[in-house]
Amino acid sequence: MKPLLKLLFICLTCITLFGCAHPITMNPDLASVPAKGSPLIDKQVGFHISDASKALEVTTPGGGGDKVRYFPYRDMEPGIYKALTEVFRGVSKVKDPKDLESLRTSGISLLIVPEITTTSASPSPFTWPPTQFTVTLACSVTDALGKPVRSFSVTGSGKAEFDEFKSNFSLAAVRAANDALSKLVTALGEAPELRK
Amino acid sequence: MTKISRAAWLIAMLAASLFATGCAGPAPNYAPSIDNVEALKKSGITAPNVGAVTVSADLPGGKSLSLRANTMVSPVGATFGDYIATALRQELELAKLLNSQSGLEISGALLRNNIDAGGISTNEGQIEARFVVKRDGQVRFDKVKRIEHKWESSFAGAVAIPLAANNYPVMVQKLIGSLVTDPEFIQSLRN
Repeated sequence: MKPLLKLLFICLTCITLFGCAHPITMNPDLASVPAKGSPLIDKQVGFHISDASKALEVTTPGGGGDKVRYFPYRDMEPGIYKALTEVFRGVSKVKDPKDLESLRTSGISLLIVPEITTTSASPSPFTWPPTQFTVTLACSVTDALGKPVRSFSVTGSGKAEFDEFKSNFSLAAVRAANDALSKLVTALGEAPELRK
Repeated sequence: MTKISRAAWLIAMLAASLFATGCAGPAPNYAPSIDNVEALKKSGITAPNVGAVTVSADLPGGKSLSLRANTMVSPVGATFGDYIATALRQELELAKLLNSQSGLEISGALLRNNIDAGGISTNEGQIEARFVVKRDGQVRFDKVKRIEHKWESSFAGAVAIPLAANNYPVMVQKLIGSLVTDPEFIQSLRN
């Protein structure tokens, strides 16, 4: 009995102290996605995020040897939608980007497909929430015939120290998401190819 | 206390702390469902205003939700009724269909707000709310909507508690989804 109890005790200690993948969210604060400040581009655009991407959960480092896990596409989708509505007259979600006929009948002249990559880190040996987080949004833009128009990439970064994140463990991720979306609005607004 | 009972007690304490500990604080920001937004855009409704979603003082889970040994509160306003009203505003705003000056108003009352975060393999939550649409004070829609949501969870509180918190916005998305896909609700917002 005694060896069994010892083994259980060691196992529980290990589970408590090491190797957890803590769930966080990247849900951006939509109020922080800024207006472009100039007139909207008079175009109907579509954006596509596949169901598989939305279901993708990624795991990246946190502090103390722990990890964090989250759904970048699911969490960023409303922010990307909001960013596009700040730049273009009309925005629609596109289920099938290869269905060019559907794009044409919907009046969509540009199709935007985002790709999201993230990094996280924390120098703390005792707390697991990341203190540094980056979100890179790489977008490919094609016209309604599938011809490439432009591709660009923006990276947002977010930092949060212990005093700030103790009531919101996702804070660095949320700040990075907000920053990336703000930069996305700027990048879209400054791309002359999107106005042609 | 014998050696074995002391070890058992230590294990029980460790297991209890592992089960109960985790994060506390506000629920995550609401993330509007783009499917709900697209449904609203295609509905042909007149842009309404969103009033209050009230919460009675004695409603369990109205002001705070217990997630094992932790407490989650709304990050906006004072109750989860404020969270739901804000969520509905955000979805209408993204669809460019929110008009704070409109005589058409959606309001509501939160009737149930619950998360069971104590399960070791799955957890679940339920929200029930009455939604009312009025035009210039006259009721055009009055219905109770109820959703249930389940998710895989964990024995460890450090995983189960944030998972429960992260699923609350998904529950609210489902609640609003059940409303904006109701033909009677849509009809009540048309001229």
